[in-house]
Amino acid sequence: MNFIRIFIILVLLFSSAKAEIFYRGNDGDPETLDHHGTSTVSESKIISDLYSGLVDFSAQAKVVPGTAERWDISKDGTLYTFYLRENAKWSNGDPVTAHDFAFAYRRLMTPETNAKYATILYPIKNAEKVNMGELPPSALGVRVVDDRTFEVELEQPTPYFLDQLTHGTAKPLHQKSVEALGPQFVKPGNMVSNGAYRLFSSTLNDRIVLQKNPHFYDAANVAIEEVQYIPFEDRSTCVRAWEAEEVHVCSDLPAQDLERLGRKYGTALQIAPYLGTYYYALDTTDALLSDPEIRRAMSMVIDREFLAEEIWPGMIPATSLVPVGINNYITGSPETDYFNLSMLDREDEAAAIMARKGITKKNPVTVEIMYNSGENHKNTATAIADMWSEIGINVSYNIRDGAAHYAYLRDRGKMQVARAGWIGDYSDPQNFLFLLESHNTGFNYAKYNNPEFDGLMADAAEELDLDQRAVLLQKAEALIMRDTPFLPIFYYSSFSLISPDVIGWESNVMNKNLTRYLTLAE
Amino acid sequence: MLNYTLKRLLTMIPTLLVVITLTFFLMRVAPGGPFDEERPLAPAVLENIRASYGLDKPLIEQYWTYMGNLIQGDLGPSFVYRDKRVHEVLGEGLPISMTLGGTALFLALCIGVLLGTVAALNQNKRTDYLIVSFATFGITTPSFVLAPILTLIFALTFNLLPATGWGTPQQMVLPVLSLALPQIAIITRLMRGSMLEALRSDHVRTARAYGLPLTSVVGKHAMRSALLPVLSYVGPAAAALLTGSIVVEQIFNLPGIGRYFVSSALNRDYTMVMGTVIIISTLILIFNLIVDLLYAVLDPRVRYE
Repeated sequence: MNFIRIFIILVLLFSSAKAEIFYRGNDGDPETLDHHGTSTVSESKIISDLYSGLVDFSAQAKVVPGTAERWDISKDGTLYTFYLRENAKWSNGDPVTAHDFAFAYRRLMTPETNAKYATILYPIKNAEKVNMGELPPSALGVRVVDDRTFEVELEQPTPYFLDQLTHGTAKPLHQKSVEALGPQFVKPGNMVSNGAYRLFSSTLNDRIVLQKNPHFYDAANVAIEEVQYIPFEDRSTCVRAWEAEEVHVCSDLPAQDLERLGRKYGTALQIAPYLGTYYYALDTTDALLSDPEIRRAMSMVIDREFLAEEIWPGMIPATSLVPVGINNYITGSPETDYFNLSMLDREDEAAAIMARKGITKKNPVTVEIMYNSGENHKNTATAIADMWSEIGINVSYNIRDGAAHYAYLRDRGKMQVARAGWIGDYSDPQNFLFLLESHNTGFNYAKYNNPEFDGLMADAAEELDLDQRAVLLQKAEALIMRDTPFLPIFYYSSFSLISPDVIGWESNVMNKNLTRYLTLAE
Repeated sequence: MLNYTLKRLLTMIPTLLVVITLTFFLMRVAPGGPFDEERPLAPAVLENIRASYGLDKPLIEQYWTYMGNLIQGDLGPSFVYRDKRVHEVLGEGLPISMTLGGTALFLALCIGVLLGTVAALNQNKRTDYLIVSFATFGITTPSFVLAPILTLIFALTFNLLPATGWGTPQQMVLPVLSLALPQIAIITRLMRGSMLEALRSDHVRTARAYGLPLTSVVGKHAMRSALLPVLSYVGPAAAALLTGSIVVEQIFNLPGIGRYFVSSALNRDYTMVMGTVIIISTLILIFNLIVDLLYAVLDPRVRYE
């Protein structure tokens, strides 16, 4: 009898505990929880729950006040003054002060920190020089006016600076614990955070457990007591765990399961545009591909709808480099004429361009596509090779694994066509167009060099009026679409499986859903 | 025997040294490095990071530093999990992989030896056909097919067992089964064959002719020689099972070390690759030694001087 009673109590305890815990499937395990070292999407989700920056994301991933309750921007757009909340506290009860932000930003730029994403905050005055070791961290353009007032001076007006501050690298650090513990500050029991949650435990490849931070300034409105991030290397495994009700959320799903999941679970499957573009870079210094007309013909003949339907279900066929739904782009991307034509007309026109260059099916040229290994990358390259064969381009392939592929691109090795993708760090068209600036040797795989384009980007960088700036950026993007150094193929989509028990999940272009805005059904 | 064991243990050291050295240099020959990602790092940042891990130094100097640290038991920092050192990462996952692999190995040995013996004793009868059919099914159904099928039946359809995770006895059932079943099948077939051969051997036939009971003939006389081929198979198989199975660990989302055998090479996590290679090669050497020693125990003709 006693045994049965104990059993019932245990069952009740277990089930009630389970109801309060949010089991969140994550794409992978974080490489680090030091937000100055983070670089992956899976890390940014955890960091957003642990820390609150000067600004934060709303439930719809709009920029809203975070630890700073308000801010002033100088007329010339180069001086930001942030006023911190009086009730902003660290998880150990210490107040969050302007010193914590100044300390964190200086640490981020210190070369020895090895911050992979320090470049995000390069708009801050002297940031790049400090990061290169040319100036001491004290020279960084940040200033503590008083405990609750923090000033940031920029190199030049940067209309998307607030968007940049949503990035994980811009979160504060608890100066005392970081200085006392060194690299050990990220361990459970050591970490002091100022977000809606605090770190409870972390077991590699098993789970990261966060518990509600009672000192968080908005703790009264945080419903979920505990969130467990469970890393899934294999997306299909997450789907099985979700179907067995072992996790509430799966992010990123296997393409082959989308149709079945949609049919079986209806609105639990959420597909939303995501701030990213899948593209091919065409080397503009290559003997053949230096001709913009040939590059344009190669773009025209790609049937993106077919690729999206057959290979990448849920992805959106791209007609520009800047993805849809981005902020600060009132005009939107420019229209490119050939996207209004039917595929047949596009093929005819592309074949005519190539014929003028002396390239036909009977007199073909060979182009090499370089891509990183992956089933869908392979299928895409094969399908595109088939489309290009119609205009006299035979394709050879050069396949490497991810690390080797990107190392080759970084070293600017000889290439013709290379696959790449870009996920926006912040929601602004500049974050996509800057990839092709001639001085951007790290990202400009096409080696595109157009002074007119560079000039428009420079003008846009100095333009304070967002509408005027959008017009300049649109002109710059029109040049790219005309010259086709990058050949945009898809805009990414985010795929999530959300349990009906999760209330408040709003899919958005940044694919950001902070746990603090969610509730679990009773 | 003791001398032989000591000698073998000593020869393990140069073998390991060769394996470690080869792996170290082969890994560095592979193009790309641990910090080559889809989003390239700013050159200065990359330089800083490489310097902080000592990757800017000449390769031979890096090798000597690594070997120096290794002798002191330090496997170095992980290039991917920046908060952890390799021994911490492997230390967290290895007990899980070993529990999983050890349980599967134990099950496979017990059931495989039993089924193989029963099949041999009932050669060409219904029991034999049944067991051989099961073994053939087991050998032809790899873990990556078996595991999702078991999940579909026991976790998703009947809700009897969890689909993923590690920690409770229930969570062990499906992964252990997925790992053990193909091994059971292989051991059953090996055991059946060797037992049949043993039963036909002169000394066993003599024993039977003298009227010794069947249990004694099989258990004492036939079993010893029948176990030898199984033993030869189990040695290297044990090393592979105990260090985790990437397939089973991924399908059931288990925090073992199986994943690192592939992911660390793809991520160019040099120190992690070295760590996994050191673990698996040590285990293989040890299990081979154990197998050789057991040979002497089981087969009186084998003597080590």
